Amino acid sequence: MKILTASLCKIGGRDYNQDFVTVSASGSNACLVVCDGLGSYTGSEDASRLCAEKIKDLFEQVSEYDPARAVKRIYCEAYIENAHHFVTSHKERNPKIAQSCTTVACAITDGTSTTFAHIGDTRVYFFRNHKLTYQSKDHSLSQVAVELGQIKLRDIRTHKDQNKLTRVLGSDYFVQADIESLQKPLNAGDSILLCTDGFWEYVYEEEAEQDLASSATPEEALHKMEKRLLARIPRFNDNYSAIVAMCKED
Amino acid sequence: MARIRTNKNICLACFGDLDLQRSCLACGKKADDTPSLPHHLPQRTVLNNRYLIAKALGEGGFGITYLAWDLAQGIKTAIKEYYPSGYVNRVPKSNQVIINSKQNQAASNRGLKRFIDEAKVLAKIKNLPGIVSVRDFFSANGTAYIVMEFLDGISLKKYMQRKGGKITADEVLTILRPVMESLLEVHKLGLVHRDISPDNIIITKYNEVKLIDFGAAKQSNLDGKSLSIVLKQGFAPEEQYRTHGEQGPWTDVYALGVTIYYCITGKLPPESIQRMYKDTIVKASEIGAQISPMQENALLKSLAVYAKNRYQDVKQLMAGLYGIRAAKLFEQAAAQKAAAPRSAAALRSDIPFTAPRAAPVPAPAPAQKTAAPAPAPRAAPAPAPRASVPHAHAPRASVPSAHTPRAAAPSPKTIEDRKREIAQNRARHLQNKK
Ligand SMILES: Nc1ncnc2c1ncn2[C@@H]1O[C@H](COP(=O)(O)OP(=O)(O)OP(=O)(O)O)[C@@H](O)[C@H]1O
Repeated sequence: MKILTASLCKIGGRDYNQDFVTVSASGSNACLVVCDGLGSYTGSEDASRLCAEKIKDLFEQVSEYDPARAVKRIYCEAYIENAHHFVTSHKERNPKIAQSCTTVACAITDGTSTTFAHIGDTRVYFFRNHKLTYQSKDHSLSQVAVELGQIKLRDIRTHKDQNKLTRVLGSDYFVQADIESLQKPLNAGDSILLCTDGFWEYVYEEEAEQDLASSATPEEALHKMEKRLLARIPRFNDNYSAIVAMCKED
Repeated sequence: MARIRTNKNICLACFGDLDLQRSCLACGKKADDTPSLPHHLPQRTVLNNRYLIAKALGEGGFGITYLAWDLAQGIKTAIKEYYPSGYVNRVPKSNQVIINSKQNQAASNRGLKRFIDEAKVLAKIKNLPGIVSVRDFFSANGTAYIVMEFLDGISLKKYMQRKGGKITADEVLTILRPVMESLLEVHKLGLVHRDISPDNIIITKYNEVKLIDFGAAKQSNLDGKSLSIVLKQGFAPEEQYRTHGEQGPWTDVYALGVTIYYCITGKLPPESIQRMYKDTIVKASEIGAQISPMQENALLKSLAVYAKNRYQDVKQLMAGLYGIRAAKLFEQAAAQKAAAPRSAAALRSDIPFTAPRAAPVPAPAPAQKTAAPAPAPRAAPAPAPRASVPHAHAPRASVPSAHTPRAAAPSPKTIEDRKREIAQNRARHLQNKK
């Protein structure tokens, strides 16, 4: 089994792109990270970049001497905590960006063990045989409304509190990521989609299933999803980013 | 030839005079004339004809805090400017703060009104030992300003980080006592702080412990805009996430609980809002905190997700945390202190404080301040966290100083004293020059 990836990271209708995407993949190993710097706070493009790069660097370092552990849950927790401290120490040296912070979603795997983590409303989707089997829960007030049975999961996209996040990375205090480990190894036909709110707001889950099923490559799937997005966005839409990883026979 | 003292040649480090080379005649420091950030008030701006901006101390989502010299009194102050980031811009040169778009207008104005209202109330309650005192407030530049006493010290967060990332429950309770006592008074006035956290608690050089940053302006639900914003992570109880959540002393009780939990474990509990549907909080003692069973029970009760299960006010919280016996001991100690002031030697042994050298006699608090609600008469100026938490038989010292003990007196100086001192300094340095 090997993992093929494709990604995009676009500015949309904004003046800055504060999203950041990074991919490290070879054979059945992969570390995928998508971050969305919070636009209300100056310098969040630094926070998203520093966070994503730190996670990838740490994954690569650990993989080099202990590949089996590099994908374990506690290591994943450690990458994220380190990334938080990396961002905050950078901020301490740069008072200009004191308020900056970011969301993060990441997936790390060696084909056998797979761990997902996220903070904020950047999402992780996992599709087994093109069927959605795991979707991360946003750290936003809208997700809370869903959990309390006040709105439907689907309606998060248009809910008024969707922009109110309850957790981010790189803020004054470190908060834990939500971590999910897959019980089974990855198989050909499985896919992972990581994406920012600027992306998932305009691409529905069942559409992602269809596009993954009907595409031979991750590039193709991503292209189809982006087409759907472009048909729906308003003017001045948010930055949008995504990574698609597909598991294929060798 | 004598130079005229203007805002251009005042030393921002010590309020002395700068010479022509821009070195201070008093402290010897060279003036740092690097320009300020464009959205901050420029250095040496004079506000309200009275406050000379030295530098920005920091910036939060709703305001910028500056260090400034009070030109009338020759003392340092901390000035908070209402500046909701993302909603306003500053016009270069004029320093005016303008709302950046029509859709943000209402929200921003609402926030400004709250900021002013709260400042007015805060100005009435100065002189509580555990709360930063507000000296003045005014409107200017299209926004509003709160002038506070300047606190020279470090935050509780920094303090615990320096102590290795966590401290014991006894220690944090010793530190927080003056804050809790003052909160009792604040709550009586119907005010709620709303933003208690270890960064908002300052331990001063003189071992006072003070709560800063009342969060009125933050409460305003600044909505009507599409950018993502973060809600205060970890410290806010669930009622603060709701637009119509009823807030009260119990709101501060929750945040105090999280503050204690964080200080003794080094970790935040899961956020209240998540705990409503999936509560994964672990007892502090299970993750290595040093805390007695009595303290832990009280802590858990302060952290109850729903307000109805929480301590309703700080009085109940204190009885739970310190025990009824301890509360009695505090009373006795206070009574004893009132009867027989401790000797200077005894004082020195438990707080890093030495008697004034050539400083003026500690004078009574400046007359314009209102009296603090019945603090125990003190033998010395503000050796806050006064008593230690009585616990087993190991009487602990009060807050171990995070700073080197100073030789100079931390006496509450009157304005006159301060002016005299500055004049003396200046005279001395002019003499040296000759
Ligand atoms: N009275 C004071 N004396 C000395 N320093 C102060 C005083 N008040 C605030 N500060 C310091 O000024 C800095 C900025 O504080 P401010 O409250 O503006 O922002 P914040 O706490 O970082 O953010 P937020 O307001 O969003 O919580 C902090 O480092 C704080 O310790």
